[in-house]
Amino acid sequence: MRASGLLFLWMILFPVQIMAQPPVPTSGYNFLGKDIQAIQDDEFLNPGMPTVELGSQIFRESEEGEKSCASCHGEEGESMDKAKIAAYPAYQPAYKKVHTLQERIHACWTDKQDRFPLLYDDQKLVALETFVRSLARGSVINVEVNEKSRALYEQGEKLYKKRFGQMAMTCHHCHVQYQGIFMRGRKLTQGQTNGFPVYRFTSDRVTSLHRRFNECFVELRAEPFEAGSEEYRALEYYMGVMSNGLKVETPAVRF
Amino acid sequence: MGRNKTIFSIFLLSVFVLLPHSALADSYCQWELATENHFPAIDKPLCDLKGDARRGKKIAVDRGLGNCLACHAMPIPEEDFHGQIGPALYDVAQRYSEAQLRARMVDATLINPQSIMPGFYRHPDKHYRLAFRYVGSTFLSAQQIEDIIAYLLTLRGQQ
Repeated sequence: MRASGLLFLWMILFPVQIMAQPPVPTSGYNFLGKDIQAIQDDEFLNPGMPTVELGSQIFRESEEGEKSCASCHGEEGESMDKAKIAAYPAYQPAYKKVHTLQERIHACWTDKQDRFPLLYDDQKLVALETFVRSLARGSVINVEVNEKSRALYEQGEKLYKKRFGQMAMTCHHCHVQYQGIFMRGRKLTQGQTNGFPVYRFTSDRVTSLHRRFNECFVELRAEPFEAGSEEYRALEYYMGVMSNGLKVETPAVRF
Repeated sequence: MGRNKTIFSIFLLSVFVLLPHSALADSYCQWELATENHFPAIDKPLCDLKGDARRGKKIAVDRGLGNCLACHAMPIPEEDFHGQIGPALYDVAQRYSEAQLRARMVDATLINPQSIMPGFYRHPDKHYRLAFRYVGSTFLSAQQIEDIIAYLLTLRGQQ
């Protein structure tokens, strides 16, 4: 009698216990088929690799009399700390703001190399970001929030749980609440950022995270924010913290 | 003279671009929310239109329109990939009345504020950051909503 009572209680509490726990971070890699996983793992088959190659070329290029990235960071970027690359977006005390990896590269581009500034998500910057991030392939993501950057993190959380557009869905709906469930033909992933910039079969190009946000907004029938805007940076920061513990997969291969 | 012409044509163009939106916003049919067995319900058909079940089924399948199959399993075996997010709709007419179905179609957040289901006939002004090309429009027209409801009312499970 008592045992069955306990069993009954457990039957009720077990689902509650599971639902109350935050989801274990799972890479989009685990949602792919074996054949696509093989393409991502193979350096020669991976369609994102040409962009890495392009990035490494830009890394070594220099304007007359100026330094190239390679002058300080080594010919193949070997002097860069992989753990630090995996920790972006990170708070930069020198600039008193959070920099995404691309912004960090751009800060070097304008301040250290004295080159003409580029727009956010410029082809060159995306290529550089892909190259630099791919150096940290396999490193564990560790995005930290401190007191000075907490405001941006909280803004990101607010945006993540805000309904957008005519669909009036939040990021949280699909990527947390209904993750792993089929939406017509598509299995909803956690929308982790560990593979970005990522090669996507649907657009046949290497896509930066902010461009991916844009595509999501268009699907929601919402007006997108601009690449590099405060809102996207906040989202990137919040989602970076969500990805903590996963390994960098850049350039990942996704649909 | 030429400059005046261009200004005039730009003005004319803007009228044609903006007209459909404002026209749509004006044609939004107001509805009255009632309760039925403690559930929100909308008794009267939107704009007093009559639905057609056959058209409704097409709209339910269409990925650009209702796309009900994205989230719900329905008795439409000829289509692959039925979604798993919402409840299956095989016997939906046995569970809900026409008025309750209408409330759910118009705006599911009336019933569950956390619902992921889009408000298919929510007022155009009640969206946040609506894309420009959808300004002033509802997800589906009143006629399409009534068509889908007519189709849903035919789903009575195993007979």
